[in-house]
Amino acid sequence: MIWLIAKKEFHDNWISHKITIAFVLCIVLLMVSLLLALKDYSERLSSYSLSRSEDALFLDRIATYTIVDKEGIATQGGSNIGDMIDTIGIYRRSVELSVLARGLDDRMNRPIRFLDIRKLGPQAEISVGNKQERNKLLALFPPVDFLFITKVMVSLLTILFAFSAIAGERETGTLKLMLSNSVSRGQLLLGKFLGGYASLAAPFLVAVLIAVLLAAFSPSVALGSAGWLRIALMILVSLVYIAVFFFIGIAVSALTRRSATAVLLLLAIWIVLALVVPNVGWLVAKQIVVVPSEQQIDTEKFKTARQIEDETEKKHPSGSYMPGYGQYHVEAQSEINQALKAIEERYEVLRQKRLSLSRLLTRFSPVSSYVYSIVGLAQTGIEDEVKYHSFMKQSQIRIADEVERVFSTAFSSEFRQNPPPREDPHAYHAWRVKGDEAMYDSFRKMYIPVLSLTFEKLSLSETLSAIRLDLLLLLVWIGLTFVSATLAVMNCKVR
Amino acid sequence: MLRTIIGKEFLEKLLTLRFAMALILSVGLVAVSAFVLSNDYTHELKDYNTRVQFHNEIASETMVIVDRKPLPLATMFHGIAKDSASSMRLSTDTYPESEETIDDNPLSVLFPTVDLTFIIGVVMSLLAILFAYDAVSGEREAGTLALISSNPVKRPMLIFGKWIGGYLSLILPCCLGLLTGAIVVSFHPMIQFTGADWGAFALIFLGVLLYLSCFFALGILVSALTSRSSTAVLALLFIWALSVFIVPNVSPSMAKALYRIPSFAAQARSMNLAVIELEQQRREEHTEKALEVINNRLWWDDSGRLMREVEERFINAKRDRLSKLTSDYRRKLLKQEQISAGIASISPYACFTLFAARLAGTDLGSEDKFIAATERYYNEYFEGTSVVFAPGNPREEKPAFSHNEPALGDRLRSGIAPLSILLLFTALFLIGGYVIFLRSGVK
Repeated sequence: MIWLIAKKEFHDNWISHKITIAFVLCIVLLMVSLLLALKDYSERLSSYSLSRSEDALFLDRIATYTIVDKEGIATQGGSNIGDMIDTIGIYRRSVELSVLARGLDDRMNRPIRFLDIRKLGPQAEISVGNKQERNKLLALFPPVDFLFITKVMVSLLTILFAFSAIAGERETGTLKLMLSNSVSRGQLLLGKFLGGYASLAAPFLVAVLIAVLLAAFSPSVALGSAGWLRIALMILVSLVYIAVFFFIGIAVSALTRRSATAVLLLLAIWIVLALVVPNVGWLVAKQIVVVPSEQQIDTEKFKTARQIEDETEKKHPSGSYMPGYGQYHVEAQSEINQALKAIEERYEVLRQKRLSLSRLLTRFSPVSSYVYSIVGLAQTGIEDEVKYHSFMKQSQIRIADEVERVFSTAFSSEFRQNPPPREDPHAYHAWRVKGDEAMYDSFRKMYIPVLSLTFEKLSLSETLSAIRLDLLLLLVWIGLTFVSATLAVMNCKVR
Repeated sequence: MLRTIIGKEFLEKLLTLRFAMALILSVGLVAVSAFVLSNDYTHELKDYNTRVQFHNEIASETMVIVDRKPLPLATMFHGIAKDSASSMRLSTDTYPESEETIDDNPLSVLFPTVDLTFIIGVVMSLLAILFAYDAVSGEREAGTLALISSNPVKRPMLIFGKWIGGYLSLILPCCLGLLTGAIVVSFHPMIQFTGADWGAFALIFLGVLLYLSCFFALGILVSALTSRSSTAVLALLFIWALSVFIVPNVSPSMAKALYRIPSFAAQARSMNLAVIELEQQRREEHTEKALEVINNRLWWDDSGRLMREVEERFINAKRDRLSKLTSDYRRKLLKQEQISAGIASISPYACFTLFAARLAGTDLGSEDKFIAATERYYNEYFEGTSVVFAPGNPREEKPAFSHNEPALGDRLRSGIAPLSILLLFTALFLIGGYVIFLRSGVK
């Protein structure tokens, strides 16, 4: 009997073209978004390789030049290392699955540059790209990826499939006909669910598979077996997500008398789950854990640095004092750095607390759990960003150490020892040139660790353990919505 | 007779749960987001004041940072406000660059903040569709269309009644919602909207009415075409999805294909090559001057002066060259963006978004005007300054930076184009609905 009802439901959806429309909607959306995303991804890749080869170009700019006077004696030489170092950057290659779920990928793709070689060591500041480099065309109409399509469109689609499931039958009078015969309410519920869910899941699945196969044949995307597994998991989680909304649709449909009311009530519920709860989570967390803005933190850092400099100036007056982040008081340098680091750490802890609180609050909606699971699987989630930041810090320390080592050895290298006697100008000249070249050679070598940085990403098992809470929550949601649908159908009015 | 039909349509929608839901949604969403966004605006204003003070302190002979005052309507109608330049760093040795701020909240990327453009553009248009989808097909299914038509009621009167009655019942909750939003904003203790701001808000309000009528007319058109309401609503969802998601998102790619410009990385490359060339030149000049000093046994300050001249020439040349490259590129980007906006205007949603952004001052054109103003200020501020700092120069009084956002009239002028396209669409859907209804069956 369940099977009969399911078949009837599916057939009905087919005849009224609902399945066709759903299929066309899914395929058009997915194909367009995937094609655009693939195009954008290959552009990003070529930008990435172009930028890296640019930096290799820079190594050649570190050149020696020597000025020779009338007697052929070298008197000056050098070049401006500081200028060149500003433009060397660290770049990260976008992950392939960002074509499906953009997530936080953009935040991890800004080039990071070293500023001001004078500030060596752990306090080497890094600048984070330039706003002019972001594509403004995308700001007004943000790109639509697979995640967005499923999160918004498919859940809306589900609502519009399910809203007339019970209420529609009640309006046309066929509900009391069915139930007055030997069809139990439970059979009705399961039959409706199976038939309706199949009529939606089938076109969705077919559309997704076609789109994914298209992506697979694209030249710029190279997915390993782990990548395919991730995609399969994403599809599975999406199917669960659709089922959640389907049960909600059936529940509301059973409870309202007219289907027109049901659809509006469902829209309201959808808005609360998809828009209100996620946004509110962040807002409430912001009120509870107060972190001052970036600007205020910067001002605090500046004031602290200035204060320490003023104190140092009082103790050891230097004559030409100009305040500015410890640039002119080298002895206060380490004290300033420690103070700034302490400020930064204090606010970092607060930020983390605020983030985890807001994540917790957003989890009151299945939409949030869905989003976290999918971006996690696509390697563009919050945990991936955390790993990116820690990798960045480690590399920064490593590179800074390297830079310091090079600087200290460059000036004390063997090529600087034992200058030949000044009476022999040509030998002196040759000695100078050799020393300069060796120094610049070691500077060049300094960039090799920078240029060969490849970012580590979270493995599949690490991803799964990171998103396990959200996966669990989705299962809980399915259970909850199933129970409410059952209760609603069991107790609903027949006419 | 027309008035009776209008009355019936209006009351029919009004006295159902449908209207109550629409009212709760509109008023709730708009009021809450107006409240939240107003708070955001006050925070941004406070941040702006702190920034201006800070930048005043650290301004020097060779560097100054200017800020753009946050627009009151920018938090309600985001446009590109979150991505646009709000602080520009001007220094003598390079072209004006925007100061970057790191957004410390990853959730704002995963769950984009909801502004009024979104609520009106997405949610209210969905409401319009859900009010209209069963206007004709629902009556067809219930059998009442056959009943009415078999009486001496003219078809045109019927369709007019449906349009007007249904539309009134739709915009009532939406207007109440927007009104609540306006009240929330005006009673906020720290927000001061000027006359121009309220004017812009009122004009956007008119745009909202037009936008909703567009989708409502579309809903009635599709409803007249299909025999079953559940098919009608899905078809409408499809068209809505095309309008809101597909067309606006495809337009940047099409614009890129139609009007090719070099990528950001390629642009960076050409800037680097220019700098390399200039550095080579500097090196040669440096060598030349150094030889001059050595061979002529010049004094210390003469040689210092020569070297400084070389440096100054280099820095000026570098800055001018890079400025030109950047502004050329920016002009090309702007043109591409205009083409993209034009293509996107096929979608009513895009028309409304563009209209609201242009009136609120959060479109690319307004940002461009700000950047142009900073460039003018750059010349003013650094007039007569030596690029290479010589100790002992007294710090002169510098003019302050002021930039007025474009007036309401200018903003309206730039927003007329998408508004007229919206009008065109509405007229098309109305005519289409009329024609189809007149020829459609009664069951």
